[in-house]
Amino acid sequence: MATQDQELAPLASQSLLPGKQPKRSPTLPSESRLGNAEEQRQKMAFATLGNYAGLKAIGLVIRSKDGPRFVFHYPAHPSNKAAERELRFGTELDPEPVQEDDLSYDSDESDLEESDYSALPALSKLNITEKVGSRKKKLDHEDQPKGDDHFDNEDGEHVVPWEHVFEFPTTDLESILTPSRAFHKKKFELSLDPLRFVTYPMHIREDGTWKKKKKTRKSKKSKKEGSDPEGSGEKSDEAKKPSDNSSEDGDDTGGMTMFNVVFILNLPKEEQDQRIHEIYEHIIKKFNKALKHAQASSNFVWKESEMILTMKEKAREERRPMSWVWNEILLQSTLAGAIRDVFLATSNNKIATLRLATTPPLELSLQIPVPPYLTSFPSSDERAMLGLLLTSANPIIDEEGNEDPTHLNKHFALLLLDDETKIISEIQADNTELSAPLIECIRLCKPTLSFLQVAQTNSIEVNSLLILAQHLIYWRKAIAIPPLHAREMYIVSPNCDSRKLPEASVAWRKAFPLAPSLPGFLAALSAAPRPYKTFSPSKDHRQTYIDMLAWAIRGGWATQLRTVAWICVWPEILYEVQYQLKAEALEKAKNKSQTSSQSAESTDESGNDKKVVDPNAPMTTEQAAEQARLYRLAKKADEDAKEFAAEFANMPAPIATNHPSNNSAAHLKNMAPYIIKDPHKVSHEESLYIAALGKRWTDPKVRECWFRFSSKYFNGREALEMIALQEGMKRKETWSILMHYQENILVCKHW
Amino acid sequence: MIQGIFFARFLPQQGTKVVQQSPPGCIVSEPGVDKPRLFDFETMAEYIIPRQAFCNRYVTICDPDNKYRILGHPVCIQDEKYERNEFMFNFCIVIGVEVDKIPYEAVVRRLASTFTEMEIQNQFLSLEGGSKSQDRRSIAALLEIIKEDLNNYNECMIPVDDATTINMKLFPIYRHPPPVKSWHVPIAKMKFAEIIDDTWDLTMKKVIHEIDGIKDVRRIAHDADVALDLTKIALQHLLYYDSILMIDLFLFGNIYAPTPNMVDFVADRDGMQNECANYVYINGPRLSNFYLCRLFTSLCTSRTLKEWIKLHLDQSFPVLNYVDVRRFIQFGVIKGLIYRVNKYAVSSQYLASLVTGQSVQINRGDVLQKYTDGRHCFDQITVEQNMGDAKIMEQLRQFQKGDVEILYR
Repeated sequence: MATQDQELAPLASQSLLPGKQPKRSPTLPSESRLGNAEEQRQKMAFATLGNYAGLKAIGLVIRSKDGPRFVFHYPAHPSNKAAERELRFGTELDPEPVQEDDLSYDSDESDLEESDYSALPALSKLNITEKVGSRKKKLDHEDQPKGDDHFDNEDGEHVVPWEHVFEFPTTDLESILTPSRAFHKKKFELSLDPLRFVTYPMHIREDGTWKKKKKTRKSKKSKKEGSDPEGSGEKSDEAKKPSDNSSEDGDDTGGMTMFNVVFILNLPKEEQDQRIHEIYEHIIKKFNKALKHAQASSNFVWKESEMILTMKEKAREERRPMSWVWNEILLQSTLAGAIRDVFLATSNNKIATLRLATTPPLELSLQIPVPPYLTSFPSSDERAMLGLLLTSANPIIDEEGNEDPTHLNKHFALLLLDDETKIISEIQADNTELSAPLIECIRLCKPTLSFLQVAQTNSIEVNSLLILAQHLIYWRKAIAIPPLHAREMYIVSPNCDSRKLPEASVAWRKAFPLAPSLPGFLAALSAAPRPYKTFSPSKDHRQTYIDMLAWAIRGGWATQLRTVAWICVWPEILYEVQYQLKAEALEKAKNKSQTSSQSAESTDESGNDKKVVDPNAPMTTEQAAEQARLYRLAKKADEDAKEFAAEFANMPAPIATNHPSNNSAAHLKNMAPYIIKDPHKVSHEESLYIAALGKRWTDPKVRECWFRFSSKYFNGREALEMIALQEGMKRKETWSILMHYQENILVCKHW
Repeated sequence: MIQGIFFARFLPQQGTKVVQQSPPGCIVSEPGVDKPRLFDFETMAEYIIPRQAFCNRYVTICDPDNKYRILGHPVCIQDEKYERNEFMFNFCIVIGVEVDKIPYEAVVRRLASTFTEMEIQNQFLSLEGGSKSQDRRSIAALLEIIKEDLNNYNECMIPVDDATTINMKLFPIYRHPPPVKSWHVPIAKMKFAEIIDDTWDLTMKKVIHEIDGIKDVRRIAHDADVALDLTKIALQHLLYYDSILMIDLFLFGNIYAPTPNMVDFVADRDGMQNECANYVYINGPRLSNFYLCRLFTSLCTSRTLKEWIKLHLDQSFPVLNYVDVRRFIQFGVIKGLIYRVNKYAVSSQYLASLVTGQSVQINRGDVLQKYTDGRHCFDQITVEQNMGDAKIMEQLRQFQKGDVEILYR
C-alpha cells in the first residue's frame, strides 16, 4: 500500500481503485460483520427498496405486424427525479438529517456527478452544431409536450401528449425496447442515463404460435402457421386474411411476435444493481411470465393492446386530453389496470394483487418480500429501518439451524399486525376458498399460544395451521413471535421509531384508555428488565397487559429479552476430570506393564512369526542395535511412568465443594474456567466435564434434565425461554430446574 | 477489468460497424484470430449506435447471456460536411456484469468528449485510416494502450497528437458515510502521522491532530480552533475514505447491552478473544479470555458501567486493575458485540402539543423542551447544551410532575 500514502491528499484525496484498505493502526480492532449481519444487509437492501423503489414508470411495448408499438405506460406523466433515500443510518432518530446534497464533500466529488458531465465542453457544442445542421431539430425541448393537451409546434406538426415518455419520443422508445429473439426470456437491461430500463422480453414460439400445440381442432390452423417458418412469412399470411380467423377462436394475434413490459427505474448509483436484481426477480420476471401465460391461453396481451392502441388512435384524431384518454384506458383495459396496480403497489412497498380478465381469470400477487423483523443490530453505516422489530427469535430456522422459509417453527405464536376485525373483514371481502379457514385460523391463534398449543386444544392438524399462518405472514397480516408470557421479560426495542411517539401515544390512549401513557409504559419497560407480570397491578389486569404488550411488539416498540447460556466449567471440575484422567492413565499403564512382562514372550513370538523365514539365524549388528534401542525406550518409558506416578501421588485429591466457582484451593489458582462452546459437538474431555457436572445433581429430575438440556440449549443460540415449549414442560418447573444450574452456566441476555 | 474496448461507427452504406477493437477479435471476428467473441455484435448493434434520440448520453446494455455489460456513450455530430449530414460513433468498454461499473463511467464519458472535440476540430475520426495519419497515433493503438493501462495501473496518460493528451483514471465511488454528529467520537483507523505532509489541507491537519479516540466532535472542533461545521466536513471526508470510524461518547454512566453476536465472541470466531485480550489487558497481568466473556455477558440494558464494575468488584473481580474499560467497550461496539443503550427524555405534554400544534409553557425548563420528544439522546443534550447527565435530570424536574419519562433505548 505504498501508493496509499500519497493518495491520501486531504480533501481532494482519492485512493486507487481496489483501495479502501487503509493502513490500520495495529491496535485498533477491525470491524467485522458477525452472525447473520451480512445476510441481513442483503435483506435490508430490498426492504428499503419498497419505499424508495425508484420505479418511475412501467411501459408495455409490443411488436406486431405494424412493427414495434409503444402501447401503454403508467403513470401518464412519470417524474424523472432520482429515488429518495432513507437519510438516517443505524438507529439514529434525528428529526431532520442533513440532506446529502448539502454536504459539501459532495461538491468535491462532483467531478463525477452528472451535472458536470453535461458541462463537458465538447458535448455541449453538439447542440450548436445541431442548430447549424440543416435537418429540422425534431427533438428540441419546446416540442416536448409537458401537459395534458395536444398542440401544433412551429412546423405545424401535431404534438400528441402521450407520444413522449420522459424526454424520449415513443417511436424511438418502441424500437429500442423491442429486443431481438436473443433476449427471449432473458434479462434485458438498458440504461439511458439516468434511467434504467429492465425487462424480461417474451417472444412468440419458434413455430409462430403463443402456446404449445394441443391435439385439438386448432391443429389444422397451427399447421398452416407452422408452414411459415419466419415471422415475416407469418406477417404476410396474417395480412392476406386479416379477419377470418379472428374473434371466434380468439387467436388473432395481429402478427404480434413479441411483447415486453418494461420497468423504468432511476436509482442511486451505488444501490442500483442490488435493487434491480430484487425487482427483476420478484416483479418483472413474474409479471411478464404471467402475461405470457395469459397470452398463450386467451390471446390476452394482443387483445388488450389492440384495444388500447385503437383508443389512443381515436383520441389522437379527436385531440382528447391525455388525462381523459388514460382514464378511459384504465377503465376498459384490465391489462392497463394491472400495470397501474403493479406500479402503485411496488412503489409503495405493497403487495400487488392482479386479476387478469382471461378465461379462466388469472390471479397473481407480486411483491418484493420485506423481512418482518431485523435479526441483528443495524450498524451505523447501514440505512436506518426504524420501527422494524428487532429480535433474534427466528421462526423459520429448521432443526439443523438453517434458514428455510417454508419451515415455520410450531412453537411460535401468531401476532396479527393489525386489528383482528379489520383483517377478518378484508379477508371476507377477498372471498376465496381460503377465506373461511384463514378467518378460523385468526380466531383461534393468540399471541400467547404456540401453534402447537392452538392445534392441540382445538384438535386440528398442526401442519394445516402452520400453512394458514404462513399465508397470513406472506400477506403481511401477521408475524410469528415466541408466545407472549407474563413471566418473560420485555424491553424497549433499540430500533423503535420514537419519531412516531406523538401519534402512537394518541392511538395508544384510544386502545387502552385506562392504562398508563405510552411513554410511561415504555419508560417502565426500559428502566430495568423484569418479568412482565410485575408491571401489571393485579391479576385481573393481566389480559389487558398482554394486549398492551402485543400492541407494543406489533409496532416495533418492545421486544423480548431472551436468555442464552453456555456451560461454564469451573477449575474445580476441570481438575476433577484431569485427576480422573491421570488416574485412569496410571491404572492403564500399570496393567500394561504387568501384561507386557507377561506377554513379552508372546510379542517375541509374534515378531518371530514375521521373520519366520530364518528363525535360527545369528543376530546381525542391525538386530543388536534394534534390541538396544528397544531396551532404551522401555527404560525411558518406565522412568516416565514412575515420574508420572510420583507426580500424581503429589497431586491433591479433588474435593467437590458446593460452590465450585468459589473454590479457592491453592492447586486451582492457576487454572482458568472453561466455556464449552457447542455442547452438541464436544471433545472427549468436554463430554467428561458435562458428565462430571451431571454427577453433582442429587435430584434425579435435575440430573436427567441436565443431560437433556445441555446438548440442546446451552450453545449460546437457543433461548432458554423456549425450553419449556419445546420440551413440553411447565415454564415454572423449567426455570426452577435451570436455577440449579445457575452457577455452572454463563448466561447472556439480549433481544 | 476491461474485457474489451472498441470503436464503432455508423457507416451510411454498411450500418453500424466495429472499426477498431482490442483485444483483436473480441467483438467481431478478425482474420487470423481464432478466439470466441465476447457476444454477438449484430444483436447488440442497435444499442451501440442507437437512434438519434438516444445519442449524446451515457448508454449501457447487457448481453443476452447477462455475462457482459457494454458501457458506451454514442455521439452524433451533425454537420453538412458528412454524408447524410451526420457522423455517429461510440467508444465502448466491455466489462463483466458483476464488475463495479461506476468507475468506468467517467472513462467512457471522457473518451466520448475528447474524441468529439477532436472530430470537430480536425475530423480525427472520420479521416481515420486516411493519408496524413503519420504524426498521430492510430485509434487501434490508442484503444490498446487505454485498455492495458487502465487494467494494469488504473490510470493512463496518452499523447494522441501534438496538442492532445488523454488523461484518465479510475476513481472508486464509495457509499455515502453516515452524517457526523457532534456527540460522536472519531477513532483513527490508520496512522495519520505517517502519511500526513505539508500539502495537506490546514483545517484537516488541525482536526486530525485532535483525533485521539476520546474527544467528541464538538471538543475536537473546540480544541482545534476550527468551526464545528468545518470539523464535521473534514471528518466526513475521513469517514468517506474509511480512515476513521465513529463511536459514541464514553462515560462511566453509559449503559451497554449485548447483541446476539455475542455467541461469535464466546465461540472465539476469527480469534476474536485474543484480539480483544491484546487490546484491553493493558492495566495489569493478562488474564484468561474467560473473563472477557464474563465481562461482556454481564453487561445488560439496565446496568451502567459504574454499576457493572461494582458488580464485579462484589464478586471479587477488580475489573479496573486488569482491563482498560474504555478500550473494552470500544472493542465490543466496533465488533458489534454490544450496543449503546441511549437515554431519552419524553414529555407527554410536549408530545401532545406536537400533535395538536399548541405550545406548552414550562417554567425555566424551556431550553430542554425541544429535546423531550424522544428523538434526542442525552449525549446530544450534553454536547449541545453543555450539561452533564445530573444537570439535565435536575432541569427536567422543572417540568410538571410526572410529565417527563426517561426512556432507555
